[in-house]
Amino acid sequence: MAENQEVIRTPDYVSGPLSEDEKARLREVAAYWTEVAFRSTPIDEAKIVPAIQSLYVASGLSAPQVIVVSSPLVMAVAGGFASAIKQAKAEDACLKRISDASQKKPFGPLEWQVVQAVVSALTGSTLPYAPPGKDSPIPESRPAMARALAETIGGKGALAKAMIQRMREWEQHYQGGNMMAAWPSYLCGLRDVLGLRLPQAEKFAAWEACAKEGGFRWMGDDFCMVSDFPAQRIGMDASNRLHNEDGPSYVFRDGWRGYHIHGVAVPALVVEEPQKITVSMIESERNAEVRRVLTEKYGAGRYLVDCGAKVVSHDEYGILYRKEQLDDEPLVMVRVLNSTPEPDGTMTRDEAIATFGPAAHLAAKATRDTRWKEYFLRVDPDLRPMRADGWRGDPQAPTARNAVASTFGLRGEEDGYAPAFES
Amino acid sequence: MDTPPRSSREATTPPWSDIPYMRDDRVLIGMEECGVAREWIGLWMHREVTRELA
Repeated sequence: MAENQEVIRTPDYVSGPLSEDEKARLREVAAYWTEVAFRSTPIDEAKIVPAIQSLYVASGLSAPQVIVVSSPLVMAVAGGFASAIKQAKAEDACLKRISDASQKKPFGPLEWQVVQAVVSALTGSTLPYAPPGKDSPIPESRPAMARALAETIGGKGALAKAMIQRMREWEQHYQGGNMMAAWPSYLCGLRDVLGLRLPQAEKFAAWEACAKEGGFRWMGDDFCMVSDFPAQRIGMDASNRLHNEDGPSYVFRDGWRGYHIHGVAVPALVVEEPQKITVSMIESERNAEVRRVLTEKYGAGRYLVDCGAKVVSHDEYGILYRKEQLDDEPLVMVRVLNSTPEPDGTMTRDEAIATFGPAAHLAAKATRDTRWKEYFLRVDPDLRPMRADGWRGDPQAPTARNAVASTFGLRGEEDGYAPAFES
Repeated sequence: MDTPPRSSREATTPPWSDIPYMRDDRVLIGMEECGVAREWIGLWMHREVTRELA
């Protein structure tokens, strides 16, 4: 495309490079929609209901019954259940089962959110939206919860299976609402910054309102279930992966939540009670990504020592450990002692000498009251020299000296190489 | 189970591919440079719901 392309800005066509002013204004549009995507203030039924109804009408459909639900999870389960029940024309039988079950035993908070939404869809009379709160307990297994609920509502036959099947097909029926903010961001940028006035404007106006005012939505023929926003801002890292070191990465007002470390889904304990992670927990974890997180939280060096990893070399530079791992590369680390004492060191001089032996030659010359710090350095499993730009050299023999050298991008046998580890 | 009922999803989705700016790579790329194309939260939440119901 030519660099001096003509700039065209007309209501029905735009072309040509963006000016600096346009870029700045587009960044504002993007920032606005990013905040919409992260919205955590409660859904406003007075706004989302007409927005969704107008989206259907603008698309040539009848305005549906709009049912606000507490989370995308409830949306997927209740939307699928209600759709399957209505298709089977089993509304009356299912409502009776729900009534009978609720008299025998109260539903749990999350289950109740599903049941309420299903009852609303089956009766055509929307029950008030009342989420139980983000601290509500949730069933340990959500698939098991869904299966049990399907049998409670649909009976132990073909209908329950159809309800589960329709639930699993949820993505064929959903739109992302505020969480799919890219398209509205594009369209608003084209409209508000570049001045496009498109024939699709009417439909898009309704779409835009739905994106601002609601979350995920299950688009049925005569009902639409739309999710509330999360109860707090979703946690993400700089690479746009779900992430929160201090709590759930997302949590909704019905208690449904997830925990993630840099995009890896982990059990709640890993984030909420990392002190309870054990060596056996790490070693029994079959998912390599989760095992890496568990190891990091436990402390990789501490793990190597506590699990009895093989010492493959112990020389005057440190101690080299190696631990084979299922479906992952071996964990290889060199344990070194800082070359100078430190007031907040975790080891006494005598402890340093006892642990490091020949690698504690500097500590051995120091006074008895000095304190020392140890460090664990992750190295390439083949001790290839590593540089910050990603370059890796050839493999080296497994010695602690070579391992320390590799962390500086060097080989242990290089002339004049005499590292003294300093933090 | 019979064929699933018609989903209103398709009928209510705007015809994104008809939008004229798609003819101009420079405009599209310029907008992406400005960070407009942010889909990540929705994709993650989609994955979460799928994972939770597997």
